[in-house]
Amino acid sequence: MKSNIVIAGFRNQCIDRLVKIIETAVQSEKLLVKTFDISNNENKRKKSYQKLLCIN
Amino acid sequence: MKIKEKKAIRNCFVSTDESSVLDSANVGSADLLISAGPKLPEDLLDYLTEFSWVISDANSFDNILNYPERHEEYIKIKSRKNHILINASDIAAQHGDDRISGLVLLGAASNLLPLSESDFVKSIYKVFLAKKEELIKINIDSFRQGKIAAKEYLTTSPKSIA
Repeated sequence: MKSNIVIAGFRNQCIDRLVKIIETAVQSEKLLVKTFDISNNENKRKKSYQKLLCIN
Repeated sequence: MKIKEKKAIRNCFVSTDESSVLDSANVGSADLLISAGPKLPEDLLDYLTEFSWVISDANSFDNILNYPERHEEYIKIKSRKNHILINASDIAAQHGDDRISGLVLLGAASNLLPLSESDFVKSIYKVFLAKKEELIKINIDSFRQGKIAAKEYLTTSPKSIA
């Protein structure tokens, strides 16, 4: 089953932790996951921190 | 680092793994958005379809004076076909640390992911292995409370699809 998950709005450390938890959980099911940064063109002054996880 | 732009979308994806480049055509839209607050970033709306799930904390950013009118944001989220709006910060605070609201929301989202609760619990143990046992327990409890809160929300919210 394919799932694309976007995580946004949290502090960087919190997002990193959530990503790590999902990535580790995915490994248990022997699924594949790729994680990407999503840049935000609307807010160039303050680099936004958003993640996209693609589970396959 | 290579970047592929999706014409219809203003954002770009950049892999955290330098060796891989995301083919945006294969990404499509987000099935799920986990947001810290009800104000959804405009740029992320492009990734959502009418069927995408939005899971958000209902009561975040109380201390930000210029935070957009929450009522309007609630209406936007509640007008979505698939959404879960829970008081994640309150649940996290009940466990002694409102900073772990992310774990509550992950618990809420877990019902929609192809992973079992056991997978997540084991994963939380691994990620927090170096931390105190009490902290691990708090995070797992928060995750489970989020899962329960989401189920309750879907049961009581007439516009949601369980």
